[in-house]
Amino acid sequence: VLGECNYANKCVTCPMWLTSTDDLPALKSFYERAVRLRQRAQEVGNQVVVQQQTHIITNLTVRLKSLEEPEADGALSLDEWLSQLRTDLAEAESGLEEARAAGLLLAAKHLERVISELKARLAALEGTNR
Amino acid sequence: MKQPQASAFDHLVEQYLALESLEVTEELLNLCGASIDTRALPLLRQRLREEEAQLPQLEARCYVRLREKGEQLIASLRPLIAALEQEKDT
Repeated sequence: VLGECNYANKCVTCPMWLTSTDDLPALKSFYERAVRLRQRAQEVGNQVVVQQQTHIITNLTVRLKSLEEPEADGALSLDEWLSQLRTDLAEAESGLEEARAAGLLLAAKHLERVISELKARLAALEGTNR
Repeated sequence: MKQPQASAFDHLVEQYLALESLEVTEELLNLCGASIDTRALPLLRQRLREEEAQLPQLEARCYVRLREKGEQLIASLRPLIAALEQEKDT
């Protein structure tokens, strides 16, 4: 969001995209621009852009909400944590396949590390759940 | 304003727009409206030139991720431009 990257809309679906509360103003601006673009696409009847912006807006809404309500993370039960970690693992594994298919070696290596860490955390949590 | 046959062309457009910035996407909406056609060619060619010119700089600065993104964008722009040029010539 803040760097030199010209492809702001690409971050939203990137499994390596990390954000913090420092990014909230930029994320809100990004969200507003995506909403405006979707509106414009609706006006001219461009369905491809409408669909893509809807996808971006949905992802940004989730991210903004999670950053604006961080206390929700602390309130998760063990089962909810496990469920969240399994979801993250599935997403990371899917991202790894995509990265390998696209020949993105650095991204694939990073995702392999993420998957290992998630598996380790899952194993640890599942151990305490027995 | 001509547009190639659907399906394969639609896929090219989707691939390209998924990588393009919001600003350029908006310019394309203003130029072509509901669907990308030959009116987009000058802008698409300009974007290709810009991306190609940027690659060596990104390489020199070791911006690996940005270079990968630039390469993906170029890879999506080339067949899209070719499809539109073919349509324009027919």
